[in-house]
Amino acid sequence: MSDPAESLAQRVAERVVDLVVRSLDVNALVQEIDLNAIVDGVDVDKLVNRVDVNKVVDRVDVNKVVDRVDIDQLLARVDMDALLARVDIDQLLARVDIDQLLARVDVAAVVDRVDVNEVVERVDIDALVTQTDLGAVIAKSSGGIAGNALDVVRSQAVGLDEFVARWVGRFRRRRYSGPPGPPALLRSAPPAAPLTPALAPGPAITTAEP
Amino acid sequence: MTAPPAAQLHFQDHFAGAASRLAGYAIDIGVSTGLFTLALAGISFVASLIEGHSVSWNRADVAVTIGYLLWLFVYFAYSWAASGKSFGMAVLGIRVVSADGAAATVRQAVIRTLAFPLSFLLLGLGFLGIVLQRDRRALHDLIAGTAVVYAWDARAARLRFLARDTPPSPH
Repeated sequence: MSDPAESLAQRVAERVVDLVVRSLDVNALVQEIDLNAIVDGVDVDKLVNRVDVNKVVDRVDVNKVVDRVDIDQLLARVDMDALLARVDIDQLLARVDIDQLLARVDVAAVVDRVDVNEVVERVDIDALVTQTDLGAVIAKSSGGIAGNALDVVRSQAVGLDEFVARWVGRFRRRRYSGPPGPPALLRSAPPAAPLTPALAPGPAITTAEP
Repeated sequence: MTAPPAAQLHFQDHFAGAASRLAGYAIDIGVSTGLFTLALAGISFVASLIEGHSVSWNRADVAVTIGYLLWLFVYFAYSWAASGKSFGMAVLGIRVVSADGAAATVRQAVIRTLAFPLSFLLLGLGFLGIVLQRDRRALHDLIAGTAVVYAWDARAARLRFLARDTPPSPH
């Protein structure tokens, strides 16, 4: 065929294709296609096997992906209770090397942060004395009958002091809340530990403010 | 015997009240007078050995009165200057300190002893401060710049009391 004829044929063909494409209703055509049947015919495993996953992953910018993740929203959707319920604490602890963990702890720094006075205040000294051998040690190392009698005399005298002070306060219409003391002495006095009410025997003379 | 009440555990170094001070003073007067009487009896006994006849002491005797007052001065001034407490005060667990809480000085002890009779001479009104004043200071305390505080460790006493009831160790 000569060149003019070939050129004509080419133009005719293009025109025909153009007319056909224009006359085609693509949407109707797509609806006619049974996508499920096509998908069923695809061997996904074979397809996946042909994909070089490493190459795909190499092309993924993980940082960019992570940046787009809203961690708060993600965590809000996590059921922590359910997650924790699935954790085997025993197994987790079994894998912890306690010695190694303790070796990394700065015990001195921990001790420095402990308020020893506060710890001592929380110790129930009365229970300690009555329920341990410490009581026997104290009893052996401290006064006899004379010492005990002195304690009683002093206790009674202090009770009487408070009785008088309370009544004087009532007469003067002033609330009495115990004796004050010289500032220098009170500043240096250690705080008294709380007592266990169950172990505190009733006073011979009540000194507490009503 | 009962343990010291819980409220008393906080009283160490707080101003001592009238009853403790009065009881301590009564003991002091008893002890000092007893010692003075013993001393007189001793002197009388020695005199009888030397001179062969006993010496009788008369209360109206000025020398005896002056001796007694001097003895009281030494007894109280020395006690307060040396340790802040006389025998009676030690029994009651109280002691004399400076008004600010520091240990009483010798000067304060001497002034307090000399001013002490003033509280009596004013019909006892000098002692009213112990009951009426917040810092429980009598006239002689105000003059000497002193105060009386509880020196007794009620907490230790309570522990001793509780320790007595501790069951013996099975070991």
